Amino acid sequence: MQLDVVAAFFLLGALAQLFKAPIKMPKGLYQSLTIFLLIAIGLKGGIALGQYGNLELLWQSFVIILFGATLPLFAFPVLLKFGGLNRTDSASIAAHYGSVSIATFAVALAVLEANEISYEPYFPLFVALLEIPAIAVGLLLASNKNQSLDLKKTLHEIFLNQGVLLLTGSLILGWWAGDQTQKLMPFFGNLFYGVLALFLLEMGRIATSRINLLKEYGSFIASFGVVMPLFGALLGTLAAQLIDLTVGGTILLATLGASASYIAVPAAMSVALPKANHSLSITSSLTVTFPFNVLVGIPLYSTLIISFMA
Amino acid sequence: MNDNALLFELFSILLLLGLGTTLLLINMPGWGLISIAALLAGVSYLLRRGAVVGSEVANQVSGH
Repeated sequence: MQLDVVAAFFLLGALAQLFKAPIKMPKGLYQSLTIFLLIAIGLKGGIALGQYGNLELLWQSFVIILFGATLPLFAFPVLLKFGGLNRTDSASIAAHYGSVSIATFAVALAVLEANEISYEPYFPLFVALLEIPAIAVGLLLASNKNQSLDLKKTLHEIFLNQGVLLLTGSLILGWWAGDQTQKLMPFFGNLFYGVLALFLLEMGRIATSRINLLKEYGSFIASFGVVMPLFGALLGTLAAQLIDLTVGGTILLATLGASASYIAVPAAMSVALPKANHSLSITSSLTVTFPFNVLVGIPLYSTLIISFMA
Repeated sequence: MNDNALLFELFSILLLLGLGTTLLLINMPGWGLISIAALLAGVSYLLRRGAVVGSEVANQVSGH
């Protein structure tokens, strides 16, 4: 499966930054694009939830939550033992890799729709569910007697960060409003791919601008940022088989397992684990894992899953 | 950078190379993984080389 045209905008942004070409969006616009994507994905999932929601969703949601909680448990010992990182940094990065990236999910959606591969339309519900458990597991892994935890502030960041709030909020609104949501769709539906392309253009620029930080953190983090997504994708594929997802759903869950958060988890971790090296986790998830998934991972997972499940 | 980190990096590079080659052998897209393996090997070598050169320079400066 070749690189999707929307994902190619990521390359354009990355090349522009490499050649120091002056493409720079206003910071406010980048944040607006993030909000747009969260609401668009949430609304679409909410409408589908109203149409296709059933009792089987409870079992699927349970497995999805378990899947999200399991990923950091695999990442943590690797970071601690092989990476030689301290407990707090290992737990923080592990939480990033257990949670998900909404942009990576959006790229996978674009690829599925461009190739007319059907998937469970209520999938955004799973995205929202996957945002949270890894943060809780990460905090448990990091817990020690010397580090105090501001529980109120931490819970606020876990459940009310921008990603979780907008995704869950628009999911509920889409589910509740049903057909009424159609009047929003000329904006949140038709413009989705254009906005995603703009967003990826800026992401390519941001990810490339952080490449120099890899020198500081060493090559271990680059290797981890590539191997962990492959493992996450494999685990995601197995979880998808357990809950009997379609080919498209399996590709989406593999992609979510492979992705690492760089919006919701950094916000929560900066409050809950202020001593953790947040730049290290964001460099790993944004500079290594995100480009890997967009340029190599998603086409690879899609091809493999289609070949083996067809 | 410790020995365990080097072990993990070697494992990652070999894993990517192995997976990429296997995929190519069954007519599937494996070049992406092979390219990433080469990139990781390059990054690992250059950063370690840089660290060695840096420590040699530091030793010479402190020796004088």
